[in-house]
Amino acid sequence: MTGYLFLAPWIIGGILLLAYPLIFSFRLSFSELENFTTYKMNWVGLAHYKQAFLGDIHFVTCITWGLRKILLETPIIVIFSLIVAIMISRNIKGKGFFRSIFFLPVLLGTGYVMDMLNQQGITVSSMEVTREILLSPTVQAYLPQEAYQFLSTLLSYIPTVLWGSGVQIVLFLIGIQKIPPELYESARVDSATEWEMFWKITLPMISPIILLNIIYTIIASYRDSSPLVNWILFQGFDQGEFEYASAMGWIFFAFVLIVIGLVALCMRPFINRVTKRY
Amino acid sequence: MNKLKKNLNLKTILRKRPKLGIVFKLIMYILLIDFAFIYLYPFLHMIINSLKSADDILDVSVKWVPNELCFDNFKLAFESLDYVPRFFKTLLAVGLCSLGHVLSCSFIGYGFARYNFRGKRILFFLLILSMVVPTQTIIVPLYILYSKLGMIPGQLAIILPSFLGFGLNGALFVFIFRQFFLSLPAALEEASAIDGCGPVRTFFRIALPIAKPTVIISTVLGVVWHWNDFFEPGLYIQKQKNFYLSMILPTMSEAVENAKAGVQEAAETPYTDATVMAAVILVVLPIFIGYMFIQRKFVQSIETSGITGE
Repeated sequence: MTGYLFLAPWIIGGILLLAYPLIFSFRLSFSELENFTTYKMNWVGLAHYKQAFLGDIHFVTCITWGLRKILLETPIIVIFSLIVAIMISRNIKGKGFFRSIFFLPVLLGTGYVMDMLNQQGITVSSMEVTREILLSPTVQAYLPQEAYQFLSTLLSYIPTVLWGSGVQIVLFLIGIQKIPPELYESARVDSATEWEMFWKITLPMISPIILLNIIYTIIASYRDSSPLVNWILFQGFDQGEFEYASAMGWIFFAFVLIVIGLVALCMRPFINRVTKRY
Repeated sequence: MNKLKKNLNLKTILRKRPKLGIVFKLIMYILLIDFAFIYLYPFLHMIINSLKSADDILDVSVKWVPNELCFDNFKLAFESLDYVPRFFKTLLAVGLCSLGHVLSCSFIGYGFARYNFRGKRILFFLLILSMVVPTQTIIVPLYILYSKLGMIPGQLAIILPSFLGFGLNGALFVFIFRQFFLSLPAALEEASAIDGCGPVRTFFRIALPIAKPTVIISTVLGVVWHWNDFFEPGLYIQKQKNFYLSMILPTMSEAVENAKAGVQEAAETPYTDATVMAAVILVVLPIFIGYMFIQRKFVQSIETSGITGE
């Protein structure tokens, strides 16, 4: 019973701030508001969903953009932050210096500050760097057009990826620090190499955090401003189309749920194996 | 024989640090320096830009070294941000939100980690689900709910959810605290229970103080996130007078963008890109100063607190 006592604030909050809004917006997405004082709704069926997919030229592009961003950036961010976390968890020279730099995005990487950095510094200036140094005209002359295109888009992703991986690095670092050192010691006694230890110890032991990080990365990709978010807000608050805005919100939520559900399903066997063994 | 003995001596084997190949080490440092460069580059860019005068910022040939250091940008940004009163307003709200998050999320996370009750699995699944729900999906009903409760316009709509374990990434904090308490042996709490300490008192007297590293991590993250957040506050606080620091930034940069695009009303704006950059720096400055003080603790906390798996 004491368990419920501890969960009481969360349950109250959940009913008030999660369940009620979810049900409300679900109903709203299927109906038309009669007036804005009593919120009386009239059932209109799938009209708003139809409008989103068939009548709105903006929505489909926005949602494919958002999904493509999730599918492209999430694996890169997770892998990158894992590599960085492993590097700075070691006893390297200048550990403090590197750590404070890699925590910069934790401080700056959210909200409007991130937007500004994106606009001013990151995209523009690092594009310059890649253009001038890595993909100079000489390189361009020797590469096929497609390969050059591919490389330059890939390189232009790097800064966004790096700046989007602050919290993930912290979470990975916490996870890596928590792996019992005995495991590495016994592996070393059995003359395992660093490479083997990474695949057999580090990776399995932090697989739950990999899942957490994947979920976090997906959430973070749409939490701040993205075209879809702006479009939903525009429809809802500027145009007063609350019903249509909630229908779009639900479609997006469904897509996100499918992606996360698939990831969780794929990761499940690995995580279960770890929790059983240790 | 002697060699064999050496190999069999377990202690020497255990003490030996893992040998990394020199090539591997070199690659690692090059990568680290590269990454550090990419992180620092836009940041340095921002600082330099904030010090450029209006002429320099339009001059393409001026990149890193401005002709003159122009501190007027900071002065103008400081005034148009209305810095001092807004700073204290923001500080109060952010402090309350973070306090609410730490208190409620540790409390809830403790409940998830230590007690068994019916429906715990379902509730935990719902917790993860609540992490995933996009704010956009529920923002409309939330807005209606808050305005029905008479909390709009006002700050209560931002502060209240954090005391219930919701709000900005609340579920993530609950998760982090749960993982910490799961990895903690329950012996101390059992001892205090034997001494007749109730569960709530045990939590506040024993468990929460032990969870100090996790408290530090979630405080830092919570303060930073709330400080930079402008989306929900922008909806709930409607009077410009009560805006937080970071919420002024969009209006400023919008004016600059409009002036660039040639919109009539914006042509008179005193702001340039440099002013906006100066304003951004002024907004994040308190966070930097605060972080400098807490950095050692923060890094230590990351090393000692544990988020293990399930």
